[in-house]
Amino acid sequence: MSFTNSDGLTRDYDFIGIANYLRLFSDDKFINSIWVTTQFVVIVVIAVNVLGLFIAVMLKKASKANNIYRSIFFLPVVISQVAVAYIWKNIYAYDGLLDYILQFFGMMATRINWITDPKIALYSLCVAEIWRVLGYHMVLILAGLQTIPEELYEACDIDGGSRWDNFRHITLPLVIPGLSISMIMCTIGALKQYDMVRVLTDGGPVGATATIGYSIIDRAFNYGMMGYASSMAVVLFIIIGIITIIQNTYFNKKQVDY
Amino acid sequence: MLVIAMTIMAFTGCKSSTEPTVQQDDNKTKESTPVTDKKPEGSVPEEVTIAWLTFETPAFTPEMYNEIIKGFEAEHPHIKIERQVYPTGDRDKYANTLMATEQLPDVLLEGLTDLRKVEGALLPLSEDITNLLREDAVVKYGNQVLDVPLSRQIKKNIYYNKSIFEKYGLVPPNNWEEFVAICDTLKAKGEVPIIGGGPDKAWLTGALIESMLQVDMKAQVGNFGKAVKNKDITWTDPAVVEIYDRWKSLIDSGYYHEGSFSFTYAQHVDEFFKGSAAMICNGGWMAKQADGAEGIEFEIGWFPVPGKDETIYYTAADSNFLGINAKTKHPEESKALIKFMFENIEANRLFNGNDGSSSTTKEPIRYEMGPIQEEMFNKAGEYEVAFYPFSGEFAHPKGMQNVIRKMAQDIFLGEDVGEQLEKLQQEYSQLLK
Repeated sequence: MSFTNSDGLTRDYDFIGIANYLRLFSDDKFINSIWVTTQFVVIVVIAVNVLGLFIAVMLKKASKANNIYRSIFFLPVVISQVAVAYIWKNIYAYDGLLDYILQFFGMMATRINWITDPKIALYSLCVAEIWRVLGYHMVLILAGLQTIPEELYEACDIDGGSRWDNFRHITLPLVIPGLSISMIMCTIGALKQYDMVRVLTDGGPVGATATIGYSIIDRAFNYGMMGYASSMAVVLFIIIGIITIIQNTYFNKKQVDY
Repeated sequence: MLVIAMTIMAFTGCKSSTEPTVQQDDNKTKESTPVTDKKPEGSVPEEVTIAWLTFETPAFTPEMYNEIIKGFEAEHPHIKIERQVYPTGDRDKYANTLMATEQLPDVLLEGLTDLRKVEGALLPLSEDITNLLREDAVVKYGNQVLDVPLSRQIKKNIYYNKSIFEKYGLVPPNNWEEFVAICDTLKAKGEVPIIGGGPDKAWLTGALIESMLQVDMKAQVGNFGKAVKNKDITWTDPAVVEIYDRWKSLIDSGYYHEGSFSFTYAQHVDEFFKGSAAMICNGGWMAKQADGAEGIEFEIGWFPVPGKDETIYYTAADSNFLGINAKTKHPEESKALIKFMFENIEANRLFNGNDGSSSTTKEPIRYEMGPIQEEMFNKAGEYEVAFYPFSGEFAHPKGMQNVIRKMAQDIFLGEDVGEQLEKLQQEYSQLLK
């Protein structure tokens, strides 16, 4: 399909070789979408995993209260992406919940266009995405934390180690397997993101949130350029594959056994 | 276990995603009315059921469709209608999916934009149908008429708050210069001249520029869609740039409400009704909304989007197209439904009255209207029409409308007009290939 000029509707298309792939290099919108996606992935992956690790460590001990907190953090995961996007769309709206709260506490002199200002729309999208997936990754990391033997922490305490020593020398190295899975899954999810973008910002304003996933669907179904969109999808597939291999290799090297 | 579960889910998902929603008509009654089709005397026509794919909105309710179907089945007792409903979202995409999976219903209301381009997808309509419409409503693709519009929608006019206008001694403008002078005066007096909307609906932000383009290009080149397609004019033509520059000057002068790009359609109309701005650019459907709205503390007036000179055009587009699946097993019955929608005055009145649109029949079918709508429809007859290039031989290529509307949003947010029109021209050339 990516070697054709198919519109996805009719059987009337021709083989055009690598023309679609060559076109990608001169397509400003595609290049913009790569840059947007890169920023989105970096922000979301780092934030989700750092916060996820922090929350997982805090909620590691089994207790009634911790069980409740874990459920609260996991709740957004069970809501559909589209529903989450609509919730945040209302939060970010002009006179929406966020504006109301900030004005109530006197923290906002002028209105902020959370999803209609090209300079901040992407960050608003990132916040919504982080909120949506944090619980899931917290659970992944928590599962990794549960496999760390308690004796190691006891040994560290006996040797006079602080909580920071515990974290740096025991938790962090041994949670690598869980963390690596979390980071790989988070990266793949962020690279493919479409639903949140479509509902929250529709790729705008001024293409500020047009991720590769969004651009592929847009080209395929709004422009009837199925062949060209397929070439974009192939490129995305290759990018995901390369990043996954790099991440896997890196984390395998970092893995330790005590 | 996981593989089995996924397999089951896949089959369930495939089945449910391709089955359109089917709504049964609750008001079906079998009446013993005389047979009305042309079978040989003495023979009773076989009862057939045809599927009609429709869409629902606050204007087009299930109750409305039930009334129409009841009337049709009373006239054609051997034909039953099984009404189906588009899910919310893009109707064209949904219809494309149905076509790809060979599940297109017999008759479709809308969703035909792409199907028109697929050879053999739609049944060519004969003269007994096309003769029911005004000549300018019949559009051919090649030599064939593949679908017919039920409605003609008045596109954008400017509605204004009469109280604010009267307060400052303002009257509706006759041309663009007078319009800008009104905006100047209002801003100087501390009023918000215009309220707009955001990307909630793709056309919302660029509602005014879309009409400005049709009005001023009509005056200059006649059919703008045709001129662009034939390359008589390009998107980077100085005349086109000048129109966009004029619109941008309204934005740069601060005439738009500060929340304009953040408002949804409903919000921007509500804000206008609350008196937050003096003017709003919206379609003919808002006249019906304005007539019926409660609690508005001022009178609403309207005027056509002013052009550079004093020639007035009213912008319109035909809509609510009806077409027949070429593979239907019941072509005559399907045609009967389409004919009914044009011949049966009550059905046509009910449909267009709910939408606030005018009919496309040779003799206009009028319905009870409020004062604003009545005035608008009466006045519209005095002006020449500037059609939006949404359908017909010179319609914009697929995707172009979306590009134009996104470009309007980008310009609204500060992007340079010249650069945006250059990009638009490149996209247009690509999409035409």
